[in-house]
Amino acid sequence: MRKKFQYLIVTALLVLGFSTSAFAGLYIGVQGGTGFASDATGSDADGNANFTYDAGYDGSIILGYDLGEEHPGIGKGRLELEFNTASNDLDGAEFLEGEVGADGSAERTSIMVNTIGEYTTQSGMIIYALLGLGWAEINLDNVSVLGTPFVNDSNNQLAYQAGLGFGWNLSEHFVFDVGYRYYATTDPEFTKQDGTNLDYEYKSHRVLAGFRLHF
Amino acid sequence: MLHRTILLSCLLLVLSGCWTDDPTRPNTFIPLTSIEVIATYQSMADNTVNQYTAIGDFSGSFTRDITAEVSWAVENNAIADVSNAAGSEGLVSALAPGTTSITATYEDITGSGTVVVTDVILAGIEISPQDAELQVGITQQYEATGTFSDGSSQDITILTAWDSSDINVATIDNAGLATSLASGSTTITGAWQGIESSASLLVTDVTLTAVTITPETATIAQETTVQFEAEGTFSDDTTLDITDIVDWQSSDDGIGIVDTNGLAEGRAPGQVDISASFDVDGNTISATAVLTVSDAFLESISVTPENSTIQVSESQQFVATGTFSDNSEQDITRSVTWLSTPNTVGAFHTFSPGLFISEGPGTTLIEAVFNGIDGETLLTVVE
Repeated sequence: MRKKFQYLIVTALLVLGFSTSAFAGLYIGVQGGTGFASDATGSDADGNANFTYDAGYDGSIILGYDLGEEHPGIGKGRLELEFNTASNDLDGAEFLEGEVGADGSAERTSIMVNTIGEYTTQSGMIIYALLGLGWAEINLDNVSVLGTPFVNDSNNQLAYQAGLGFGWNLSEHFVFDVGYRYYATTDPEFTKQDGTNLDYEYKSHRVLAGFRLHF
Repeated sequence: MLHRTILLSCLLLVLSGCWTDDPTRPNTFIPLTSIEVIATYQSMADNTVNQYTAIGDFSGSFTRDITAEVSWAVENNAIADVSNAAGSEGLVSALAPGTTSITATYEDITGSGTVVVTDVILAGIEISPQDAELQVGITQQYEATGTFSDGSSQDITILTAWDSSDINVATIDNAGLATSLASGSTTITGAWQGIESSASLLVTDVTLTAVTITPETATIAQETTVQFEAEGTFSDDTTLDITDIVDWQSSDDGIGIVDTNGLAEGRAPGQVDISASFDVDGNTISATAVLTVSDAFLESISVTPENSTIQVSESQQFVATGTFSDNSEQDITRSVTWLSTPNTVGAFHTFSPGLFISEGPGTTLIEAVFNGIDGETLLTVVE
């Protein structure tokens, strides 16, 4: 039953994509890829330690509006609402004496408002740049150092991102998109397992690919 | 235009978040397994002081000076007392001749040592420097060394009562730091336990005419350091190292900072002016050097001397040389973290980077760690 439903969705998307015409209007999209969380500095009363991550998953669901070519004063572009989530496992923690192993993960759930400026080449490829602003919940999930619980807490912060990407019209309504986003938040503050505070930071390099369906 | 603005914003955002600072936090997750207590002097004369140091061994992974973190106690307080006050932790004061034990405790781990207070008596005091010559407005640190009846000697600078015979020429504080005020001569006297010693201090009326900084230009990588030195030229054409008394400034602390002793550290790529200035009768005399902070990153560290051998109680000065991505090399002895494993062979001096002081026979792995890169060598200590 589930497989039939999936076939139905794909068929509907393809039919829409290859049979209708492009114009300004709403679109939806999905993106998925890899998030490379940057090394993060965590500061507590004992000083600063750096935390390193493994690459992890990163995905988005998008609802947007394409300006099309109906607003020449603004130029070609899009405005979109992006719901995204990502997770990166901790790899290690670097202290004054060197690096040791760390476990747990940094997880992100956020909603972003993105503005995208587009340029279409003669060959039809879309080149775009993106700026986004929003809100993020950063969760340090069961982070431990050498097996000792360190922090298990979440914090909400202002988030921002900037990126570049390329798109190809598979049809007038169906666009394949690959892109890069640099994503960061204002510095979150967590409560450690011992009840004291940890000032942290969150930054990630997002490499994504996905599809957009323009209505 | 819109596209260019967005593109530039993207690049700036990415560049702003691509690096982290060196860690400053000790690793408190590896359990402390033992504490070694080390004394500056194996025995101390009655009424003198002796600095004890606690070196923690963290499960054999690394050692660290934890003098200020432990709780100090002396078994027999009639013989000696030990300070737990901030800034003087581990400082033992002798109260009466005898032998007792001293302990350094951190949670449930205790290290112990011996306090030996001898009944030797002070035989003499030696003050240094003996015949100093200063220009007006210059400071000079005096030190007093006590020689005792058994031939031993101890630094008694902080126990000594200091005096200047002419406070219009120069003053001296309780720590032995003299400041010249006007031309003339004065006698600096240090006295303790009824014995005193003197040194002459001549303050000349020559005035500072120029300051020069060496090196005039320096290039370092981020987070590494370079030592600038200031030399003063006076009206009689004499010169003097005035590194410690000039006012050091950086024109941009975001690129490079400089401390009160001329030690500069690179913060971010760029170029910055490092100035040394000194006020003479309301006029500021200064000099400027150029510090360039490169964007080169560290690729490897070599530690010298390699595979050296010393005898017990001797010390070995190690030097860490960093090789960077632009093929430059730089002395980063002051920037690295020095580690030795195991710590039964000795420990690194707290305030002299790279100086290893041996305590027992054996072979230890010497590591210099910086930005996650380490250089290693072996040191063998023999009887």
